Amino acid sequence: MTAEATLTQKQGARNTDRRGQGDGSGRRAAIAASLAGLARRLGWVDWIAVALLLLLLAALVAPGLLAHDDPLTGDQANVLAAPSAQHWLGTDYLGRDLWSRIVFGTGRTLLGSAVAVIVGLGVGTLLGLIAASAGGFTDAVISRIVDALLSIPGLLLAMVVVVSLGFGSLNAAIAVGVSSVATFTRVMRSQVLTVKNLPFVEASGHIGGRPGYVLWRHVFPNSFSAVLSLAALQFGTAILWISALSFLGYGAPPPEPEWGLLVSEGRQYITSSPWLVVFPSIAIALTVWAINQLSNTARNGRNRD
Amino acid sequence: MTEHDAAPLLQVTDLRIAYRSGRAETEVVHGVGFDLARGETLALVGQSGSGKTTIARAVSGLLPDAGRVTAGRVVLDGTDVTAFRPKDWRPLRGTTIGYVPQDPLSSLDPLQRIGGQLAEAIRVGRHGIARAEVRTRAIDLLDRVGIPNPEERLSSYPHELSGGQLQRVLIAIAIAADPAFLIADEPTSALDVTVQKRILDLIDELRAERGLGVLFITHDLALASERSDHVAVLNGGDLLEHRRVEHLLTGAQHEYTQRLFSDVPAATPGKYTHLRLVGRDEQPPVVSLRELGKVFPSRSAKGDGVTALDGVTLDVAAGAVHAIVGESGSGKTTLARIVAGITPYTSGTVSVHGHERPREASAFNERPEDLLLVYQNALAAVDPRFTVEQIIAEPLRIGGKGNGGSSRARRSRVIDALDSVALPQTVLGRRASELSGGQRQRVALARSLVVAPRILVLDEPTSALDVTVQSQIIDLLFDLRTAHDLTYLFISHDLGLVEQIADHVSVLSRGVLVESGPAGDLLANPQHPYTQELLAAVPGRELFERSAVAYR
Repeated sequence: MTAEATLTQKQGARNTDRRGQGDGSGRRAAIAASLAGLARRLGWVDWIAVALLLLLLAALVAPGLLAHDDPLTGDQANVLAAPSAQHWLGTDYLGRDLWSRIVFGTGRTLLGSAVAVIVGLGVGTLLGLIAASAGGFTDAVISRIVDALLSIPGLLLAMVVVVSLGFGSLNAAIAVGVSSVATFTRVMRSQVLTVKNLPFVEASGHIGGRPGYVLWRHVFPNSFSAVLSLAALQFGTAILWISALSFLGYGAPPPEPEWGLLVSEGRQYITSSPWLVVFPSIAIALTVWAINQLSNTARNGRNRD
Repeated sequence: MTEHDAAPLLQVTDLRIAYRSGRAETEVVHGVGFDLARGETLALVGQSGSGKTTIARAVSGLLPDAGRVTAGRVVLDGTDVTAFRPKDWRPLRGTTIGYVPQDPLSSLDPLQRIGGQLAEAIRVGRHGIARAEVRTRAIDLLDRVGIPNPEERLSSYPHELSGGQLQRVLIAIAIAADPAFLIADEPTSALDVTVQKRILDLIDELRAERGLGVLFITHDLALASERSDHVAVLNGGDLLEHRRVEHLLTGAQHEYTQRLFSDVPAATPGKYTHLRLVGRDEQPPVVSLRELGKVFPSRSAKGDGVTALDGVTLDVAAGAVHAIVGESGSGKTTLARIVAGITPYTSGTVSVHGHERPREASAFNERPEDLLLVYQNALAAVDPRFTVEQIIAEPLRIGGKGNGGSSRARRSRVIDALDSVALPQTVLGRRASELSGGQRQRVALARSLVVAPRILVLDEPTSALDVTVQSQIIDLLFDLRTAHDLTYLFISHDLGLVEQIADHVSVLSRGVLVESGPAGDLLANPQHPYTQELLAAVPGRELFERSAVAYR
């Protein structure tokens, strides 16, 4: 598998070399044209989503640039202050700046979702591939387990898993990942079933490709793209679920500025200081919306091609 | 009405059409003009990209949004329709213009009964017509287009009819509201030759009976010459030639038209005679089928299954071009796949180079260097993510040949293969979807050649190609045969092509081998009625024999 990967890389590098020498300007023009084509496809709504994601990226990489206050130590003189020029989104019950807490919490929240998606995508893809390519008894067993998992509400399943793993932000992320395995398995399985009957897969076997080779070189890459676009959608869902688990107290422990926890803590002050609930919720909603918007655009674009 | 009768039904003057893409506008039809009279057929002939379909769309108001008539005039039945908007076209649809589409299978609503779809067309221009009358008319129409048991067929769904019958239904729909002008856009390209003949006979009859003006779009010059009064030859959006058929066949011609004629297999049956290897039948057979049978299991447990092949016995001599001929459903593709070891078979024996194929097909081909199948659809047979270089190199990587650390050796073999199929190296980085149909088929051949097989099974390798490209691919196949000493098992439905290239012909009908023998004898004197019917349906064959025009 690694040898295969290096081979592909080498070949890729060689291709680039040749293009560089041969028709470099043509290639560059082609890439520029396809980027321009991509940009044309984006509507103004997509651009807002892109801007939001760039902001999130900045908060992830360098939160200190966006927010100057410490997210963990409060300003005792300014407890539960309303939004103002000094504290843009106000402060919480310990006087901590809410804007800072949201910005510094981005990393933890997004990383948690990433872990959840990677767990779901990795395990689900593998199970789907095994089920569809093995068929028969293996397929039946995996498919029935998937059916059982799908019949349990996802959030409930995540709660069961996190309770058995122990509380904590990483465990919450893993729990959300596990509860999304079934969806990924099912999509991957149906993709593989479609792809493995396509003529080019048969043709590869006909020129001598062993089943393992054909599965890895043709079936997997051609099935995976659909699952990847599901992963983008699932990323938004994972943020919601992890926030929900944190809100219920299963996730990150209290001093952490995780978004779901922020909402949960703010809930006690909902009548006196509603901003404590409203702004973290808006952050969650906007992030989920931006990711879904772009993944839908990407999916439609892919279908159009 | 009388004043119209003198004027031509359709008058196109200096028509120019451009397609807009982004801000740029590209002209695709450069000043084309022609007339079409009532009761006559005009064929627009050209390769893909010649503008023939664009013109047909422009004169029927079906240009896509990006297309625009930039100059010229289209006068239909005395009305200038050049600047018509979709709303203006509506009253003309059905009542003035009838349209027979290219692909009968996808042109009918699969969820609606035939009767309903036909009734819709009958009601056009006849508001408030009684249900009973619609039904009577529908039955009459189906009967007229030659559908058996029309009354029962009204309640059939499209999937219950064959391709030929569906095309008949579409013709019935096209003439339902008594149009004066019929556009037939490659109406038979998806059908078998014998069905094609019957469908075109039907259109001819209807034209004579109703005085229709028919605009017949086709890429097949032989078909056009046989079926029309006038032929207009298009190339790259220019009208090269527009003549009465008689003059086209005998009179002075444009060079391009001559080349088109010489590419029609039926016009040049002797093109490869000098390459024909005499005495090939005495060579030892490299593929032997004995009493080969194949039954596809039926879906329900009780059914007997479908017999695709029944007791087929034949030998393919080394170095020969052995053609398997038959219509769709004759079992020829099943036979090719069994010989290639992809499809399992149920009885008899199959041996390739003395190795007997097991009845259960193996998951992969253990001896690709013995025999390879070249797929009919070259695009579907390669991974859409692969570049041409990866596609051609794949057999080498699988076989481990030239692997051992020498990607340079592999690359040079890829380039050799590319050279031998006459493709430039610039295609190496492209994907199959970015190539033309002919180029794809060349890539498919190059991919097979790097394995250096001794036998190629070619499953209709040219059925999706224009005659000109087809003739180039056939030339290439003969070059390759000489260079690599190959044996071809050539699957085809086109007896005209088979007559041109094959040493030995086997005719399949419903899974049974009805006739087999040396090509010359068999086609000169076909014994079985099925072979005779196939031969009679080859477009232009009689015409070329009669006019005795030799294009060599």
